[in-house]
Order: sequence, then C-alpha cells, then structure tokens
Amino acid sequence: MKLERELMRGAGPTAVLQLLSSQSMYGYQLVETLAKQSGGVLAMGQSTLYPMLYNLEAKGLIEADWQEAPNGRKRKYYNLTTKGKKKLRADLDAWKKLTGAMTNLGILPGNPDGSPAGGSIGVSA
Amino acid sequence: MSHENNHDSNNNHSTIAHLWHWSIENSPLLHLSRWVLHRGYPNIQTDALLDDADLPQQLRTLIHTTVRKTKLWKSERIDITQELIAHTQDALQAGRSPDQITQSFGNPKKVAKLLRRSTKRKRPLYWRTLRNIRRSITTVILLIFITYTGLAARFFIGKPNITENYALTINAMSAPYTEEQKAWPIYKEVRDAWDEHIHETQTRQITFEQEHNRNREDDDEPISAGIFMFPNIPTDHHDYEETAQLFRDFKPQFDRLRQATHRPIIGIELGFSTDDPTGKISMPDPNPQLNPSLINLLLPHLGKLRGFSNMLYFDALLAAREGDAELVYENFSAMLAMSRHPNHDGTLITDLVNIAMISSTTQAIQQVIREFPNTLTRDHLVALAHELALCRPALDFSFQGEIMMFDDLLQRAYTDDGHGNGRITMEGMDLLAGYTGAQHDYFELAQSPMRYATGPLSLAVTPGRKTEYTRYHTMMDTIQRVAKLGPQYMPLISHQEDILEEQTKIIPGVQYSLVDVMMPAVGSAVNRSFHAHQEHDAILAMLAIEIYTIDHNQLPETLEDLTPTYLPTIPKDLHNPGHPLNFKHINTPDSSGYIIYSIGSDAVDDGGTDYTNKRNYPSFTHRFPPSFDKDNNLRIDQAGVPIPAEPRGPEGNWILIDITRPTANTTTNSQTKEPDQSPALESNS
Repeated sequence: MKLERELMRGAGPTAVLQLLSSQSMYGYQLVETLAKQSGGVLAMGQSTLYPMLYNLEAKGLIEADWQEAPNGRKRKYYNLTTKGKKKLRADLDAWKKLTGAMTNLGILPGNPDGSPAGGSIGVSA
Repeated sequence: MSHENNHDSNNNHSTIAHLWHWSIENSPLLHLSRWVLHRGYPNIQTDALLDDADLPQQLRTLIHTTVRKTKLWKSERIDITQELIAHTQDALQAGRSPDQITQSFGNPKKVAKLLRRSTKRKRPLYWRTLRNIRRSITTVILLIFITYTGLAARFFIGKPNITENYALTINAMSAPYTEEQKAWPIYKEVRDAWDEHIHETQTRQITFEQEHNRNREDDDEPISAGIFMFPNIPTDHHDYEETAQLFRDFKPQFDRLRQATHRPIIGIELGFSTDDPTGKISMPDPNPQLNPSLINLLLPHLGKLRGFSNMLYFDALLAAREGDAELVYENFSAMLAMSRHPNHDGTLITDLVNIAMISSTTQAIQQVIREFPNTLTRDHLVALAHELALCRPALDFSFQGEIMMFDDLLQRAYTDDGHGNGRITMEGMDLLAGYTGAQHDYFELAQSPMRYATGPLSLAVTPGRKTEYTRYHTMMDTIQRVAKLGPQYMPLISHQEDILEEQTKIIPGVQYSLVDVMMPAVGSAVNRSFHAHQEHDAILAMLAIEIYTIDHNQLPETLEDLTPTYLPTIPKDLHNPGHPLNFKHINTPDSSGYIIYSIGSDAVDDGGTDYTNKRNYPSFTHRFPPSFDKDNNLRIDQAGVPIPAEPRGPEGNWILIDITRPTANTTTNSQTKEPDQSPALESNS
C-alpha cells in the first residue's frame, strides 16, 4: 500500500528526518529503510526522495557530505542539523496531536490520551 | 601543550579551509564562470562520470537524460549525477535489475523538473535575490505591456458617434422667418457699400491692431481713426473732419442700416465658408449633412455688428454736434435694436458682444445728454427708456450655445455606449490638443508614430464621457442659477470653480480634460453680466432723472422722487444688498450736475469717489468672496444664501452715471470730456 501524494508530502519529510536523527544515511539506504520500516507504506523512488532531500537541505534541516564507503565508492551522506532536530520535534508533536485526534475519533486504534497503541515516538538525542 | 597547539592549528586550518570552500561555492564570479562554462560545455564532465561508473546502457541513458533535462549549473549536474550513480550502483549491488531500477526511477522529464526546482532552492541568497528582482521586473514589464495593449485596443477601436447636429439646431432658429424679417442681408450690403465707399474716397484706414500697438507704446497719444473700434474721436483729431464727411455722404446707406436693425432677427446661417479673397463677408453655405463642429462655426457677424454699433455711435455724436436731434435718437434706437441681433446662438462670446453693444449704447446716450444738453426731447427720452427696458432680457446670459458647444465636442471626442458614457478617442485627443497650448507641438507630433504610441495612455488619464458631462453641466447649472439669483450667490461659483480645478488638475500643468480646456471664465462672465444689469438700471434712472428735470425744471432730490411716475422701482445697488444705488448732486465752482454710483466691491460708501478701470474688474467676485467653516464647507445661511468673507475690492465707488457739466463761467471744452472721467465732488445733496 502506498500513501496518497498529499499524505506522502506531509509524512515523507518527517519520516526522513526521523531516520536521520539516529544516524547519517545515504540515498539508497534511506529508500530501503523507509520501505522496510514502514512496511512499504512510505516507499519512495528517486524522483521523490532526492527532491525532498534537496528541499530539506535548502531549508537547512539537513546537511550533506560526500564520504568514501568501505567498498571504495563515494556516497553522499545526509545528517540532521540542529535546526532539523527542532523541526523534527515540532513535527512529531504535531503528528502526536493528529494521531491523538484520529484515535479519539475512532479512526485509529490506541490510547485515549493520543499516544498510539503499542509504543511511542520520539527524537533520539 | 604541543598537542593543543596542533589542535588549534588544525582548527584554524579547518576554518580557513571552510571559508575557502564557502567562497568557492558562493563566489558570484565563480558562479558566472561556471555559468559560462555550463553554457559552452555542459555535459562533458557528467558524461565522463557516467563512463567511469560503467553502468548498464539503459541506466546510463536514464541518468544522462534526467541530468541533461535539469538544465542546472555544471557543478549541480555533477553533484546530482554522482548521487544518482551511487544510488543506482547501490541498487544494482542489492540485486535490483536495470528494469526494476528504471521503473522505480519514474519519468526522467518529471524527475528532472523536481530536481531542478529543489536544487535551485539551495542556490546562494544573491542568486535568489537577483532572480526575484528579474522576475519582478519581468512581471511589471509584462503587466505594462498587457495594460498598454488593452488600452491600445480600446483606444484605436473606439470611434465617436456623432448623432446631434447642433449647427442645424441653431440655424433652424431662423427658419420661421421670411427674408424680409432678416437683417443680415442688408447688413452685408451696407458693409460692402461702406468698403467701396471708403475705397473710393481713398480714406486711410488704421486697423485695430495698428491702433492697439500704437496706444500701447504711448498711452498719451490721442485716439486716431479706426472708427470701428474708437467711435469717440475728438473733434480736433486730424482724421475727424474727413471721417465726418464720409459719414454725411453715406447717409442713405445708414438709413437702410437703421431700418434693418428693427427687423426681428439677424437671420444669418452659420457655417465655415467666409473665405472671400476680398475680405468681405460672404453668406456661408453649410451643408447640413456634414454635421459641422459647433465650435468651428464662424461668427463673422459679431465683429461686423460691433463695428456698425460704433459707426452709429459716431453718427449720433455727429448728429448731436449738428443739432439733428431726430437723427441722434434714430441712431440710439438703432443701436439698441441691433444689440438684440447677436443673441442668436447663445454662446458666451455672443452674449458678451451683446452686452458690449448695449453698454456702448448707454455710454453714448450718457455722453450726448452730458455734452449736448437739451438736444434730445422729452419724447425721445421716454422712447429711449422704453426701448432700453426692452433690451434687459438680452443682458441675461443663457449659456445654451456654450453648453451645446461642449455637448457637441463630447460627441466628437468620445465613444458612446448608449447610456451617456464613453471613452476618449484618437479624434478626441486631436480635439484636446487643438484647443490647448499643445496644438503646435502636437501637430508636429502627429507626423510621427509617437502620437500613436502615446495616444492609448490618454485613456488612463482622461475622465470618461459621463464624468466630463456631469462636471461641465454641474458647473453650468451653478452659473445659470447664480446668474438668476444675483451677485450675493457668487461664492457658489467660486466654490464650484475650486472643486472643478481639484477634479481636473490631477496632473499639474497637463490639461487632459475637455472640461478643463473648454470651461470658459464663467466667474468673469457672470460678473460682467451683473455689471451690465447695474449699468442698465443706472441708465434707466438717468433717463428718468432727465425727464423729471424737464417736467420740474430741477433735479429730483432723491431717487425716491422718481417713483412711480418716472421709474417703476428704485434701482438696487448690487454691491450693497438691500440698498438702492446712490444718487448725488454735484455742484462745484467748475461743474454741476449729478452722479449715480454703486459703493463698489469694498462695500464702503466713499461719497462718490471713483475707482478707475472698473470695467474689467471682477468686482462681484471680490465683493462676495466665499467663506468656509472649519470643515472647509462653504458657509451658507438658513435662507440658503452664501455667507461672504470680508470684501476684497479696492477702495472707491463705481460711478455708473456722470452727468456733470462745466458751469457757464468755465471755458472747458465739454466735448473732449471722457465718459469715465472722475468728477470733482463737492456734494450739496
């Protein structure tokens, strides 16, 4: 299942920022991780990923750095900036409120306080 | 310590390297050079990278096509190429087939567009600023172009719709009359005969222009010939006797002229064709189908009538000197009758000529009574009083012709949407230019394409037809109302003139409005009309005084003595609401008689001390200036009468009638006394 375009536009950047909050990642790694961890829901091709990364970079939320991989090939790694961390926190807060509202409306299963069933989301330090 | 130093050194080195890197990345010069290189050799390096990557041809083409379509800077293309290569290699390494990779990649054109848009967002601030400026300028230019194109289309497509033939309307006024009731044919014959007469007698004619220039150089120079303009030639003037003889010899034609003046209508058809090479008036022959512009109609009769009036003036003085009382009266009677003839088309110029002719007649009557006492009989005076009273309606300005002239211009300048509105056209701009000082420059401009380039802009600065119509008619309604109500209402005109000036002078120094160009000096015109009324009242009072004096062998003590037998009502002083004109006996060792005067525009009775040059002075405007409250509204009392500000007129009174004669023991030549000369005042009244 793939998300509608508008939903992807809202969820995609937050998902990318969330992945980068734990470690630096390169493009293909992001595509693979997103697809795997979201069960294919947030799977995106290069046409979506790279413009999204460049937009986040233009906004100063992430920064890129060419590094040599163990196999000798060069890859561009993306890191979360301080500004990006703040943005992620704000986005997560918003998502939390949104999912809470959806839960209260009975659209999503979960706890009445808004936290989704089965765990919580947060920013790694 | 050494380690710390090394660490600092590394940090410094890192900072410098960072700055160096930043300057390379962001230097405008480098960006410019990259742009040039990019234009010249955009894909060499990306092709090399793709060659080195050794990708399957399908994927190589995909990346190459996508990157090429981004049309980004060279460095940006390289960066994207490297990243896409790395991504593709990672995908291949993960076991994806080229087809799978291609499928997940998406449409190269669409991807290129997204990459281009997002990459540009990363560009330096100066570049984005310049881009925004460039976009703004382009947008402004585009908007101007679109606006101008729209205006040009509206301007050049719009054509006036001329529906009313106002010239025909005016000429139709003569239609009900027979040829025997029209004066113009005889006027024309007499004028032609006069031209022939003076040609035969080889009389020297000094044109008005020569006379005017001569007087301007030396004001003390006595008035010379040029009988059409200066009828009051002194008897000792070198041209006097020759001119007098000309008039005596021309008596049969003057008799015809005097008879013609009593015809009910002038009966001239107005048109354009008076281009007679001999300078004589030819009967115009306008083609009604042509629907001629009213403002371009020639009014040749005005100058001729004015000239005839002055000729009759001179003939009256000549007759008075020769003791021919009947001829004096006939001339005055003819002058008064003729003064009704210009009032044919209702234009302002015609009304002004009308007033000038009546004023000239009253001046002549006053002069004859003062300088040739007992010449006119009681019957003559009574008849003149009645005839003068009949002239009073001619002193009222109708402005109808003036309004028709403006409406005619509107229909020639504007389009017509059928609901009274429309927009200015090329023809309208030609008219506007023609009636302003821009005429000379404009017709030079008309030869160049600039006229067509700038013409559409007039739509942006010229009011619409309805606005122009409303402004003009509002002003004219005010004028007509004030002309009927009296001089106390003059502030309404001054106020309306201020409003109009505000409305029509948006661009200082640029006359873009037909109203602005065509609106006559209405305040002055109405002022002149009130003066004519005042003079008219005064001359009727003078005639009544003269008749009273004949009947009682003495002057009346006051004007009240004249009513109701000699005068229906006591004439009012228009400068002094609620008060009559002032009547004063004059009795000095040198002169005796009386004067009738108004207190003038300073509203102070100075006992009859004259203010000279009053003829052209806007006295009623200065006597009743507008006043405003704190909100800048015109102050008006409960009865609806404007409350005037303090009078602004000069000191002195306005002597309207001066019948003072030298006493028997003086040797002054009474015939050289100027009509407007101030008397020596020692009142005994």
